[in-house]
Amino acid sequence: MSRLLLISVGIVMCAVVGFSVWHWGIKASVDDPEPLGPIEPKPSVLAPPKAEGPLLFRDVTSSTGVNFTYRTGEDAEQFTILETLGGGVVLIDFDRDGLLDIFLTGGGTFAGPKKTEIKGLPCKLYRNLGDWKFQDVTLSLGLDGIAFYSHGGSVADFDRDGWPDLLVTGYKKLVLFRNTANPEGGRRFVDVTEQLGLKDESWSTSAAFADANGDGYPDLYVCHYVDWSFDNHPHCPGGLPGVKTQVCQPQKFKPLVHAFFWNEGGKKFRDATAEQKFEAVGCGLGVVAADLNDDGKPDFYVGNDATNNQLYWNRGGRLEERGLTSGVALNDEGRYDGSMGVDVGDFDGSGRPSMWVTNFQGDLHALYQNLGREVFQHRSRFTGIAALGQHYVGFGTGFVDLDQDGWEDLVIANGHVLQHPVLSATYRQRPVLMHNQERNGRRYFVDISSRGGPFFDTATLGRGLAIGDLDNDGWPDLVFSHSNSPVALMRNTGGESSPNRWLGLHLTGKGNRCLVGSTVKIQAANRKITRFLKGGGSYLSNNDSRQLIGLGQDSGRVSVTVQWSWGATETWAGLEAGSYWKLTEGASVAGLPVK
Amino acid sequence: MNMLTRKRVLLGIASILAIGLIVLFVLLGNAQGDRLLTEARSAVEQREFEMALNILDPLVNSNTGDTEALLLAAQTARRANAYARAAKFLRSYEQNGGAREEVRNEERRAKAQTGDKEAAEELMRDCEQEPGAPSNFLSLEAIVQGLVPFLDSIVAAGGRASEGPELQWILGALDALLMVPMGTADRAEALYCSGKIHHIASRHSRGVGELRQALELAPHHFEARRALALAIAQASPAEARIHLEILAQQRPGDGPTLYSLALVHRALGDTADAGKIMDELLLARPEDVQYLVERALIELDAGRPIESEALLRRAANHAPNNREVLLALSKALRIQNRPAEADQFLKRCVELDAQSKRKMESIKPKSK
Repeated sequence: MSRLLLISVGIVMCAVVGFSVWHWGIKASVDDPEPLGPIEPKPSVLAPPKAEGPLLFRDVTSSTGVNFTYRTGEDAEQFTILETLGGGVVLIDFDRDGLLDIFLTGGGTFAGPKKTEIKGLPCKLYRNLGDWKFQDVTLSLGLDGIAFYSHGGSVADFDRDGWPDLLVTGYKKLVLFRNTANPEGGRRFVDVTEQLGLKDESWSTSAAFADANGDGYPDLYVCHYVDWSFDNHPHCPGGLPGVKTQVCQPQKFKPLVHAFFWNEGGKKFRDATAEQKFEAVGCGLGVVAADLNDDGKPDFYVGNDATNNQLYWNRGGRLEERGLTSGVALNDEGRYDGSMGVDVGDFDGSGRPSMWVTNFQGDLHALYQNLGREVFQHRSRFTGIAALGQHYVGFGTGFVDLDQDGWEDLVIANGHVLQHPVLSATYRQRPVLMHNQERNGRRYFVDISSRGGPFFDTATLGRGLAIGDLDNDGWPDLVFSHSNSPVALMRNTGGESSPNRWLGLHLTGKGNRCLVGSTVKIQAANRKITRFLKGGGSYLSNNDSRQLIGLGQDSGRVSVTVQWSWGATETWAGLEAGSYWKLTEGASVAGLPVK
Repeated sequence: MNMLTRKRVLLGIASILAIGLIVLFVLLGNAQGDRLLTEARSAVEQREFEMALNILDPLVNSNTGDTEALLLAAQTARRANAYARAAKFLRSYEQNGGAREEVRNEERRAKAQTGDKEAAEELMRDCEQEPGAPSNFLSLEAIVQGLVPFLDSIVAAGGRASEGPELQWILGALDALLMVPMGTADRAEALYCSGKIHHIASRHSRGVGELRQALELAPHHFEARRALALAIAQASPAEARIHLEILAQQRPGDGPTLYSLALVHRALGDTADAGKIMDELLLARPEDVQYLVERALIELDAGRPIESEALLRRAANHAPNNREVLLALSKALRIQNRPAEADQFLKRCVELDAQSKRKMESIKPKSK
């Protein structure tokens, strides 16, 4: 009896246990998806990566006396393409006191009842008093009358009198100022544009001086942009939520033909645009002149917005455009970029000049490695440039050895042209420092902006940028121009903590001959360094014309060989690091170090 | 105990056992039905729709009158895009006395989910009239799901969603969906949809933010991670690489993921890693022009123009007028110091550009 009862209970229990097993079996299969491994931490998209090392720059603007803002006229809400370009920074030692002075273009505004009258705003020249103090000398130098909507500037001793002259570009006007003695003492700039026949009523942006025909006088290449005017001012819708109007893209307009002028003995500029067979195919924004094929003659590389970039090989004064066949007209996907700033440098230690271009959002900034034989290869991916992302709109730029380790780094001023850009781009953008490092046996650029100090973590509308040693301490300083916010002076403080050594060179040709196209080769104890004498470069700006060469920790004296653009070669040996040396053509002994 | 008494006792025990078993089976049957429904709901909550349907199928087959199970099965099948199956369940639900209103709503949801704008607008109006209704989630989800293919087609065409009332309506639906209470998996899915659509609709920051939130809730959400990787690739290729590597682990051998990963490796200068991936992809599709070109560009980056040329010539056999192939071939030949051959390919490319330009100009509307 009890056995039977036990059997009955057993059956019921088995049913319950079986049910439970079945029940929990299904539940487990619902609750436990197959594990897929840990999820990696996600870095932020836009914050600059943290770089190791001491700070390289200190923003010294507020104590220098330089207080100036380039104005675009944006507040008139006309949304013109004119207001997108911004202004440049021109470093010029106008009084030859050994200290670089700063010329800044002023831009313009839109006046009148309909706000369609284009008015220029004053430019400024600040004299460098030393010890990071500057004085506004615009009026006394005769530069207070610049009344057009200005953009950029360039420097050359066009008449070879030994004094640097100043060219100012802008909307439908180009002005050349001769640096002359002021009867009342000091110097004075005199407008000689008309007197020299330098007629250019197009929209000029960047310009480069270089002696293209070997007569010793600097000729002139002028970039022109597009055919915009208030008579050709279409409405361009914003295309973003709440944005009714945006500035039109350059593709809405026709590119203007660039200009080339022969300098005839410093007495006249003759328009040779037709002679050079230039065509209206590029919206020109940046130009650099240097000897790019080692034939001693300066060639010209032009950065065009939304059109093919151009490379003019100098065939004895005839400029032959070969951008496409040389591999520098397009990016590595075969498309043109929206190019702005340009420069030339030997980033890979090959002794050959490679080309560097800052571009628009969605493009990679382009590094074209010089392979020799007039062939270049787009190397932005291979060299780490692409890791920066494509959300920047780069303008002023340049190769610069930030830490004097002997390898040229890169600096970029960024800022969008659209107030409401698409994707992750912002209107104001931080400037960028990229360090040239060794990685797996090749050169690789790494974003070290966090070592630039707070300025490099601040979003601005960066445009012009000039590189130069403003305090002659042997460490390259930077001057940034911004649209509608003040110019910034960044003092390089690398020398305070770095053991790296440097050498400064101030080269002079006989009879103040134009040096653009010359090449400088430095032989230190353990390495060779090559630098190129350039005209133009960056964006709307003009750099220090002296050569500042980082030697790393290489000890001992160095020898310098200059391959002059006119063919002669000279060597100076036994130069000590830590000083600027004056090397004059034909003088076998280097001048005393410049203090 | 005599025989008769013994027989009676045994009969009694047998009767008790039989009744007990019957009661047990009835109880088990009901419990199993409840359990299955609970399990199905749990699977649905985790958006494991196929699993839920596998649970619901035997339940509705054994108890055809269970309208609750039938409605859940219909909704689940629709959410799994199994529309025929959903319709079958819904018919059965209706035949067994299911609420007519539910049938109508579910039919409209199916239409909205397949892109029927009228049905979507009707559902939206209902949601607006009764904002707190528990069924709003299902309706809004169906509306949003129906929008995704439309927006995908815009992206596939290389465009972006243009501003206007239509887009505002879409974004309104997304906002309404995100306001409704829902489980974690549903929220992750809703954030993924919203993030993707906001990205397409030029609301990049919000889009990326929502995709990140979706991944926080559901780290294994493949599509959300892929959408995030693609959305940030331009600004942050290094972070995009991290996401693509995770995706490649999740779905080994997934062609589009591996190809995107190879591109981002090359963008970061890691030609060796990029090359390995492309080799793997080319094993599966050895004559794929896109793959051949990418592999060739990697060789070019790595300083091997001869190998690059060989790959490009293979690509050119399949696509003799492909601009990218011609340009890359021209580059590879020029680097090898073969300018005459390089010029031929460049010339062909320039001719193609000119043809394309002429074609574009011919289809432009003529101004008076």
